[in-house]
Amino acid sequence: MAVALAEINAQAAAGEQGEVAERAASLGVLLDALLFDPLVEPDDVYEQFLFELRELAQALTPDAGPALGEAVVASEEPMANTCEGGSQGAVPLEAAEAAPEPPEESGAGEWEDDEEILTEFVTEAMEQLDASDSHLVHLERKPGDGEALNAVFRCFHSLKGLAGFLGLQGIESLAHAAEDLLSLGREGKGCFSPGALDAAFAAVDQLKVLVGEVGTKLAGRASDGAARENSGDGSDDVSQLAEELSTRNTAAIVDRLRGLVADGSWKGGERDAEAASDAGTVPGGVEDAREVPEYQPADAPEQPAGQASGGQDSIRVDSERLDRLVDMIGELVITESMVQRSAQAAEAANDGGGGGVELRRQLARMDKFTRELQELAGALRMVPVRASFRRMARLARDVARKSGHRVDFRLSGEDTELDKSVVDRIGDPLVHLVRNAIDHGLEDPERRLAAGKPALGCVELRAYHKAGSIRIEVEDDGRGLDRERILERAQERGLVREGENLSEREIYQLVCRPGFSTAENVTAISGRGVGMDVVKRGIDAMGGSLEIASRPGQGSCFAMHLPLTLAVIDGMVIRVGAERYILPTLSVVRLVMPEETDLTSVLRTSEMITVQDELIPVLRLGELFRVETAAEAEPLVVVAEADGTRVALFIDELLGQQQAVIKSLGDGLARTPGVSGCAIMPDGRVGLVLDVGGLLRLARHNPGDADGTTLTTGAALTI
Amino acid sequence: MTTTNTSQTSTAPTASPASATLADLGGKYLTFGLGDEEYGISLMRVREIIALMDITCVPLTPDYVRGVMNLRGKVIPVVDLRRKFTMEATEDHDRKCIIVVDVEADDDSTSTEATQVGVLVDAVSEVLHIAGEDIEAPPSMSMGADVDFLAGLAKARDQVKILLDIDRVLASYDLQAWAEEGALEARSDEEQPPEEA
Amino acid sequence: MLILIVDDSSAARMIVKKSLRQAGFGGHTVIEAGNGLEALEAIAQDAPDLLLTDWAMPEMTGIELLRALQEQGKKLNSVLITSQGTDEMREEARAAGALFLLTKPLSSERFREALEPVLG
Repeated sequence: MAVALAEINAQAAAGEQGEVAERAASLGVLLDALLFDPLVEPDDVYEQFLFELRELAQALTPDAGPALGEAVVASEEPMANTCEGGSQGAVPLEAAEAAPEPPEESGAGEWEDDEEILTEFVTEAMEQLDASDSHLVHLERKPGDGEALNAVFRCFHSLKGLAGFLGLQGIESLAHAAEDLLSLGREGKGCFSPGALDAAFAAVDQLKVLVGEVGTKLAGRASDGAARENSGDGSDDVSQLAEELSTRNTAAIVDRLRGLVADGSWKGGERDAEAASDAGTVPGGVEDAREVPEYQPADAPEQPAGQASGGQDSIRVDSERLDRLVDMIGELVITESMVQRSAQAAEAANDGGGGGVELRRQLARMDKFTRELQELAGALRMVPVRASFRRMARLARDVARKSGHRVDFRLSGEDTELDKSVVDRIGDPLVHLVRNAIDHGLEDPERRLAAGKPALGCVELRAYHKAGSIRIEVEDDGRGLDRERILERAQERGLVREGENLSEREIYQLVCRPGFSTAENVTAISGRGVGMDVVKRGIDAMGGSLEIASRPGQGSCFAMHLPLTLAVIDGMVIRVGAERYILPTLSVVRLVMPEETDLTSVLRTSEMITVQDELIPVLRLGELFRVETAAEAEPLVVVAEADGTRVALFIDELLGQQQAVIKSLGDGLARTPGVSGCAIMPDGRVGLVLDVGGLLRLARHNPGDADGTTLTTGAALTI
Repeated sequence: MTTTNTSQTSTAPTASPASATLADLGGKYLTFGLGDEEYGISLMRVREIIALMDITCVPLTPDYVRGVMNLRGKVIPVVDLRRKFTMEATEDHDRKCIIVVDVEADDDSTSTEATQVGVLVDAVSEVLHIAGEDIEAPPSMSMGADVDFLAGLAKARDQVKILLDIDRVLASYDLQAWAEEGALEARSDEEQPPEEA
Repeated sequence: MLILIVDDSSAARMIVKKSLRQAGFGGHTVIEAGNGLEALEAIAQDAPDLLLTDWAMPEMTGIELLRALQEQGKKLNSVLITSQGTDEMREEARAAGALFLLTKPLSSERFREALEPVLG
């Protein structure tokens, strides 16, 4: 059974989703037309491929059923696959591939049922808890907001009910206690005291832990079908200990919640400004001139998690299936261009008759559709940064509390979308940047006041699109980076030579060097600059860049430039002998036509080449990869760079530039040194994507070795 | 290009031959030629048969890895069975075919989809139903390591068909073991752990 | 018969379905909706014979759904499912045209007892 599948949560607005459904339906019609169009050569492969594509497209849209005239799904169908009677409601599709379960009531069947329900429960609960986090953060600002209060209450309430049914006692009792606390708030129309809020935050955290445990167990059970009887399989001491600990934590929080409910201490009614400022964030309408940004009820544009799971704004799709669809569409584009070419050839051959015009029109139509499809497919993988941003709001609150700084944490551009592959990887850099901004960027309230600034600091997290890439910025209005101090420290560390002339930009970039830290006192949360090297590396790995701007006394801004997707790279197509390879443009420094005189042999085993006064080691790709190259050909040199090291790659020809959708080489070949993946070329063949870092490692290991004694012993290794 | 889609509802054996008795091996087999010999793969494992197409070499891989090909948008490796069985290489010709087979995914594989591998053979012969009683155990000696790949020997149409245990033939750990070794060697002089690509 | 289950949590919908099956009503066809608005659409389109709806839902609650149906003049066997069944709620539910209020946790026996007259 599909447990804990990787999921894409395409949180499209209801309208957008309708659009997707509509387009998919028209895709079905189009594909039908294609299949029966007499002008399309009934190529077997093509036909089958189109069938498959259509099935996939249907599976993606709950609406496709009704659109094709079948509305109701019988109860014997696998649950998660049951269609919502033709409404535009989204059903989680991840279980769609599970074999239809027989309706019998055997013990095993029951159990399978529960596993499915549990899986659903875990996903749903996590979404709701994340949403609750952000509602609570908001409540801290506007303690009287009934809507946010209701949303959190609903989350606890529904968790309690589900956990009760599923026999998850820890979750049930904790959710129950939390629900009681919140229901007092609802009835009393009062607002939350910081103590009550903290308890609610703690409850959310612990619930996440508990729900996570359920998820882990489920995953474990899925992989080991035999060990299914008792979830708390006592054989494992470590897991038992962990369980005990978490049970104790849960009990402690439950006590705390009950205590609060009992003495009604949250019932301040009036806002306790002093206490709230302790919490680090702003209570509504404080003395500051700065306006507290209006609450955007999380429910409004993007729906809280409770709805997301059952509601109309998102479809959950097995990401593997989605990738497959994208693959297929890519293939469609290639097939289409092949058909175009052969049609042109046919036309040229018989000087075109009346049919030629019609064919051309059909093909033009098809071309338009395939391009639209391709765009659509790309859009399917796009998700808003909202979820990541929400977590930052929670983080900001916690960091502010610990550091004693007061912060107005603002978010903008949460709807900005980028590929899931990128979203999955911006978490760590963001955490570091937000922490640094609050903990180190902002000054103490006293110091701020002394500097003539409002005591309340402002940190803004922004995302927006710019020129085909995304920019995510963390800006604070704190003390700014201290250039002198950074330079001093860099010199101490030997990162900068005495008397070296650095631009402002270069100086700021120094904080990203490994081991650099200007923290006067390293706090519990983060040292100044600590982690910046991690941030930089994370961003580099995504093919992005980090810009740092700062003004003393006025604040700093750290801006990440990221590609919209990691799945597509810009590449240079090169030829070595009869082979073609794709070299990521990002790692190419320049192209040169070498002169004999530029080459130097070192110890007769390796070569160096002089390019613009720089001595660079030579790597002959043909030799390294054992590809036959014509001796008389005039080689070209591509100077490439990885991890700060340069290498001169000898190739036979530069074939062109191209965007490539990177695919894995598959389990068996994925670790091929020097090759990071592959891509389907416009002619339908597979092209390998080179990894310059890997090539460097290969070459370092294997300098000038051309007789194949070290690495190419694969055949001997196996049989 | 032609595609033959084989029925997934065929009745060939599903159990691993290792644990199955010879009689359980009875079922439908796709037979093909390799040199002078005739081999068979359980039809259950055959996804489709395609004509020889462009294959991209992957450098620094064992010689029996012919490379990778594009199967309708999916990139799958192609293993040259001749090389795998250390037979003499021959020129490519029109009758050569690639049999696309499903192989068991590794336990640690995150993929829920079955892995597919292309197997390059000299020529595809036919689909045969082979009864369990016609299958004999492979000889236990004198054939070197290759004997591991054999599920059994079958007599059909006055000819011996060598039935393969395709999982063992294609065991991806072969490749993985190789790749790890290669990668390890290549990285042995790295002072820092390699970053994620 | 066609049964419409309305709940914003899909896990909860699964549970209701399971309870239905365990209570021996597995032979009926089930459709689902994630909130009141969706439910209204499903009712308009598929005319279910029985409506099982959760009370507390965002967008449109179960009781609001029943009232909306009343306003439209639609008669439909409806059951509200809730975790706290106060007398007040019971009264409210009846006024909105519900057959009865089912309180959680749901057991298959209670389900069978309660729904037998409707589905049996």
